[in-house]
Amino acid sequence: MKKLNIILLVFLVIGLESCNNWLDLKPESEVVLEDYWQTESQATAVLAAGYRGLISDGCMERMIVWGELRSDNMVAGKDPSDAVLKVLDVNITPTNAFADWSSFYSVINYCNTFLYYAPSVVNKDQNFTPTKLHTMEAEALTLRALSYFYLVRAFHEVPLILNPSISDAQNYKVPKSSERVILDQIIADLLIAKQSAKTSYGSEKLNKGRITLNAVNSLLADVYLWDQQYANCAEMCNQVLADKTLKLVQGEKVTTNVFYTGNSTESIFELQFDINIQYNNSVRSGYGIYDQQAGALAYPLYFGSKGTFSPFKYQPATLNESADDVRESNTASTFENGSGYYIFKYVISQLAESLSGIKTPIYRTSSTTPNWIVYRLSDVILMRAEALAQLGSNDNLKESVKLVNTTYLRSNITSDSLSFEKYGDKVSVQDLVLRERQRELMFEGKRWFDLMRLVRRTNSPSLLLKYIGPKLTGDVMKIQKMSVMNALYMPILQSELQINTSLTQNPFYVDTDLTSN
Amino acid sequence: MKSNFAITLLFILLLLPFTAKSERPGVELIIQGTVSSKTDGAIIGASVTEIDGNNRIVNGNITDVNGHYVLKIKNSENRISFTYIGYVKQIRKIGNSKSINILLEENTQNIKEIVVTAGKRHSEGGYNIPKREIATAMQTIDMKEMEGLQVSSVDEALQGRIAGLDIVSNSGDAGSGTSMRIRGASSINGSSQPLIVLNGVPYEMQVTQNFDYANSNQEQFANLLSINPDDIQEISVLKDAAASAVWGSKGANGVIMITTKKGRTGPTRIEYSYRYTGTIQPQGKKMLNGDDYTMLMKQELFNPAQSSLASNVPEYTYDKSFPDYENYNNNTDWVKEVTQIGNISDHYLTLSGGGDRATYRVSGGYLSQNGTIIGQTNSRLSTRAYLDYMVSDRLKFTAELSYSYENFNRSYTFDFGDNNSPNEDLSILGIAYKKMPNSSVYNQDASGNNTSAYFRTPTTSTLNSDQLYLVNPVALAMGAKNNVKNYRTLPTFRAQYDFTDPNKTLLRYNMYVSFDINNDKTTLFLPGAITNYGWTDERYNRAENGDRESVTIQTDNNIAWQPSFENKDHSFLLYGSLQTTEGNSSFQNIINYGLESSNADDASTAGYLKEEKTERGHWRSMGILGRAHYSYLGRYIFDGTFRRDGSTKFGNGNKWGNFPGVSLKWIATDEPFMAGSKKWLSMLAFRPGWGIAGNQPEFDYLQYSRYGNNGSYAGMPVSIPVSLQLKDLKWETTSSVNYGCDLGFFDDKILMDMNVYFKKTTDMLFKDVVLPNSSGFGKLTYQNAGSMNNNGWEINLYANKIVSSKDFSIDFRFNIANSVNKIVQLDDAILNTYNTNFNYNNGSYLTRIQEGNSFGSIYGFKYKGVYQYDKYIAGSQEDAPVGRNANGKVITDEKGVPLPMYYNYSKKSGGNPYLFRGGDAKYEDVNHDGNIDNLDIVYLGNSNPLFNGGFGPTFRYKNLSCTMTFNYRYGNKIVNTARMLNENMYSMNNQSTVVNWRWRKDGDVTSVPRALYNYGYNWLGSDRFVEDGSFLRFKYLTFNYSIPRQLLKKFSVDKLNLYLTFENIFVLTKYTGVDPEVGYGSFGISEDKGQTPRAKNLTLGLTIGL
Repeated sequence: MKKLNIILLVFLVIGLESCNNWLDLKPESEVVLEDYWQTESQATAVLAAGYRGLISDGCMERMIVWGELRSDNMVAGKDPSDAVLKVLDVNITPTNAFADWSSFYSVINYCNTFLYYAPSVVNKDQNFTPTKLHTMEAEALTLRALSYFYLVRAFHEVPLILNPSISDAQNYKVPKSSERVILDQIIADLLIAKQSAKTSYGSEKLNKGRITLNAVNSLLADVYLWDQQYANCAEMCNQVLADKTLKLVQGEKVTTNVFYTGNSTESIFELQFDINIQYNNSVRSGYGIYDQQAGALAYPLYFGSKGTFSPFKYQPATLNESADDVRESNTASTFENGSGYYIFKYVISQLAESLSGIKTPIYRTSSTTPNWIVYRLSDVILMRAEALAQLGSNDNLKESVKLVNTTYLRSNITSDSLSFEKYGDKVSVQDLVLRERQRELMFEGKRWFDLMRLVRRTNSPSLLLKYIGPKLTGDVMKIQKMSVMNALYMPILQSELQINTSLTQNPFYVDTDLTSN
Repeated sequence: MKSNFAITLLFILLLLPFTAKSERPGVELIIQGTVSSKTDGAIIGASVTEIDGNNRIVNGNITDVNGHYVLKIKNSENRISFTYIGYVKQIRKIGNSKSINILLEENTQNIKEIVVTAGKRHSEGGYNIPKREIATAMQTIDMKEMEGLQVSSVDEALQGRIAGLDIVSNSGDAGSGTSMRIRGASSINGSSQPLIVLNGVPYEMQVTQNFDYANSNQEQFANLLSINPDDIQEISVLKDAAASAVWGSKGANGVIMITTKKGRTGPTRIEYSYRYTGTIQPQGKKMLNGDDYTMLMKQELFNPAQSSLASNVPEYTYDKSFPDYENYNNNTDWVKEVTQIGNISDHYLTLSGGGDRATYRVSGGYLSQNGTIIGQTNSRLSTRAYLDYMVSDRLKFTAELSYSYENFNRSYTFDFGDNNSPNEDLSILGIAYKKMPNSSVYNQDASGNNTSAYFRTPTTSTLNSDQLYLVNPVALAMGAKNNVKNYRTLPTFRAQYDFTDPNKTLLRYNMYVSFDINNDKTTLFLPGAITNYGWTDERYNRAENGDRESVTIQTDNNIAWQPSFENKDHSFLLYGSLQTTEGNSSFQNIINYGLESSNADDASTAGYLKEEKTERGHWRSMGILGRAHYSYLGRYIFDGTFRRDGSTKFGNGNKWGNFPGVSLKWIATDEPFMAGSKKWLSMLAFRPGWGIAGNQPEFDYLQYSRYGNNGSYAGMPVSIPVSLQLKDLKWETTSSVNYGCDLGFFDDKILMDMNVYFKKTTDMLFKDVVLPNSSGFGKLTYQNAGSMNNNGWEINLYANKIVSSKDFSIDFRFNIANSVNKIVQLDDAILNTYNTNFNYNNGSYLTRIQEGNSFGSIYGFKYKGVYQYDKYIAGSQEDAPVGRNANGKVITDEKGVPLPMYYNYSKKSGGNPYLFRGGDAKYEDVNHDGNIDNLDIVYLGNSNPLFNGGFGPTFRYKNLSCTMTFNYRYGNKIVNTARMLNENMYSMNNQSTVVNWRWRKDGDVTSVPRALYNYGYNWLGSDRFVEDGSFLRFKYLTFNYSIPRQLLKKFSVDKLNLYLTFENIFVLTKYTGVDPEVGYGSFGISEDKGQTPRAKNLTLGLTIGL
């Protein structure tokens, strides 16, 4: 009997000691942090998460809403969501869904995670050379810079977070940083990225779908332009234009090659959507698709009826711009959808012309999904044109008009080139560039930021109201709201303010009653 | 090695009894002889066995045709036993004899009446103490009390019978479960459901992180209790922490212990029972017919725009030139169309019996049910076997096996329509209440005759999306598929070994291994033909297949030691146990839409892939338990428990939790000085107790930062960190103090127990705590943040034969309980997360959790009726929308113009100001500023009942008994969302007949505002829709008649019982909804979303025993 008790006791003691180990279980379908960051492929997978984050509906939708929806280019189509309607109504509140910045911060967190852990992989995986690490760091830095650039343009001031979120022991109540600090960080990151960014990944899809040196330079040019460093911007654009593998697509093939097929010769950085991974739902539902051609967004009616508001057939007084611009018919239809016309860009493969000359749009079917172009050659050309126009001097203005002509002429085949004489002064050239950017880049998430740059130069919304005016249809309330600088930025989401008590609301949206509630 | 350690240990322990005891070699002998009887001579086939000191069979043989036997003896110290059916067993010592002849005697002598005075004992495995020495708050129900009830699950039967157990059925749908709470909710986020323990083995329910607990709860829980009531012996409910500390981390919400019936020694008994139940749905809300509805809609559309253009909808105008005229000129009662008389038939067959060594009980049953909603069916096949085998007096094995297969056809629920309204009810019944009554069920031809096709609103219709996309509920019930098949197998093996003679000193080892294999298969299909969605919509021809399987293995090794003292005043029991749990689960789901045909409706057919998901889980936990029970003179009792629980759900520092419990009992009536009052006071005992129980998160791997797949980008596989590492997460602990008192009067004719308790939950686990989005993560899966109190009392009374004569007697049961819940402290971040601003939308209540208030509080406006007039004219038209000061005087501007009443004048939350008009809802302007806004929101009540309980008498007359059961809740508030949506006159949904009293013109005096389509603020979250949920329900009335044995003997039938039960006979309540028994939703608020009400049942049953 005693023997038995001893055996039992021994087992119990061993049992208790091994209890703690027995209770250590790791998940079977996921890898825990302690076991991750061992191989090159693991590091690459987290880098890819940054790209994957950008094609999520959350980011994609915001690129359109923040970049285009508030501009004169867009009105409500068929059954837009309540949040979209409120934005169009100049009634943006801290509860609006588009005040939610989470999807971009997810991308930032993936990039931060990569930048934090990837250097340690070099020691563990022989194949992961420091060179590989640096080119991938260049990608992560650029993706993070791009995300912050979107945020800073939409919100003006946001929390600047450069460390990964790992555990519940961290402080997540990060206050806002000033625009200056954020822009400096973006520029610094991009300058580092520039040094090691790849020029080619070996396949056309990856060359357009991942960050290349051209993409870094294009983004840097855009940031400089926003930051009013025009000479730097012009220089960055020049570096992109120096790459002769980038070629403009012929005017009549733009619709098919650039926006339908995608990854064209003029594309620089293009988000790669894939029907098996992620539809471009924002474009599908916003711009339309084969079996639902009426999208939630539309091209304004006044562009069709009020000639002077429209960048197309722009013919006040002595000017005669864009009289027979193929971009007009390829950008939007003349059939009404909600309070505007159907949008064509991205959603049709071509306009098929019948013998009698009637053009019918051939829509994208539900088994295809469009890529989203972040930067393409004509954008860079026109950024340089804008920078030069701001720099002034006759030579610069002349080159600016010349640059405008490169994109203009491919779409106005029957017209003559625009002559500098007609746009002799700085203001006219600036206006011309703005109009050409509108014609060329309409519905590409650029217009609102173009207008914001205009506003930021004079620190007054009055120039913006000139363009937005027709859309506000003389509504005094709306005009008043749009006349405040801070109102042109988005509010911080109410729930975010409640949780992150270090944040303060964008001044225009401070409602004492809301916060005291 | 690690993972299998517990199991290895267990088998080694299992083998110990055999290896440890070495046989003493004796001289090998052969014994022979004959077995015969006086009357019959030689007995053929009598069993002759050699048994050892513990009555373990060592060797055996049977007699041949001459009654002769030969037996090789292993040990001459052993004895020989001679048995034959119908004869008295004889046992002889072997000694040195070589031949033993036996004369068996027939077993015919009459046994004198024996009076057994031993008290009932309470046993949990080796822990076995007299029932009267239980020192904790525990209540036990013998299932005999419930004989004759039609209960498809056990939880329903408990309703109203246990003090402090608040059970609310989730709905009357076939197979839906209940919400149970023992002594209030101790956790805000975690499950408040108590732990179920079946024959000492906890029923584990494991969920993975992405599992939608809130929505799957109903079926899961019903599933959990799929034990046939016929198999249940008794149910005990452990309420205080001193008792539930035994279950450590799992017992924080209380424990329900179920003991099933076992076999009994004796000849094979066969029992068959059959029950038939007819079910009808109580009359619900009266809805408008087609004529009233179209009239309402035209007004509703006209009012906001004041234009007949808006109200000119062809579906409402009865215009014969409208192509669908015939389909829109009906008076369809959709509720009637989707309901039916339900029925349940339940067959159950039990075989039980056993001999000296082994007893068994095998049972099996089949239940089939048709729900009260068309298309709902449920069938269940269940079997259970219980086998006890005594190897010797010291060693016993038990095998228990249960298997059940359930096949549910449930209603298909989906988000049809526009989802404009909050808390949309998506059930078939919910749709029936909304569907426009002037449309027809079947497509009608030009002359108004029904065709065979279901009518579907044409996609070209100008109706708003509420109606346009709202499916025909009859077509949905008959055409869509939502099938769940559940297979569950629960084998348990037990062994028990006594190291010593149990009649002297008890040293008993007990173990079990229990498996729970649970598989679910779900198949869903929504045919495109019944919806209005295009073929690229993900709801068109949508098929879904899901498979979930889990295996849980639980083991328990325990030792009980009870020394026998010379001095019989002392009694002492020590008990130690080591328990382990290990489980695996996997889940896969596939959703395909746009299938080519609705005939091939499996998700494996070609279509667009919507989702493909797999998940795996693996978890372990371990508990070490020590218990001590000491009693002195049988009246001073001490009980102590200490449990240490380890779980894989926590990180290194917090893996283990300690859960102690102490309880004392003093049986005062056993004191000599109380002898005088013993005549009337037969029992008086006091039971103070204290204990700590714990709660752990539902999910695993929280202590890790995990990386998971997230598709790919441009051919590059993507991994993302999917979770934040929870370094600081620890156990939620609930400590409670319980003061109990047991009373018995008049020789225990009236028994009563009372409990007062104070429960405090600290480190409360909060799920999905919101993080700043700038972290890149939306939520922290769990956080410990705050504490909460639950205090209350319970009284339970049982009067046994208070009236009794020779043939007639009456019993009476009564219980009442109260629980008050208070949030003591909460983390600011949590408060901010939960306490969002008022959104200024119709239909929403401000949800708040506040320190010092109880959980489940409702906040909203005060509803004061309807403005009688549009324009204020002093004296004649007083009741108009103008601002008034605190004295009720109208506020005017400097020109004497009355200040109009506004809603949200300061445009908060992005809303626009609204000027109230005549016929609009009138809300109390609490701060008298002529503006209704968030400052006018007040506390409207709480969903926790002041008290709840049940009572009922049992009458017996000869062989006939009649039992009544009532249950009640008092003082809880319910948000009647169903009524809100049925009376808001805001959408195109059908409304209840109450709206016929709506305000139509100046001067109308009514409490129902005017109809406004998508306009105005007539249905803000106010006390108009917050109702008192108090009720008294006559739940059961059962007649039970057992036919006298004398009559049955002729047919060699042992027992024949007949019974008749009426269930849910009536409900007394002021609540205007269909059923005042509403479960708890988010924030602990009871919200009536119009779920299927509890049915009225009639059950006829019989039990035959052979």
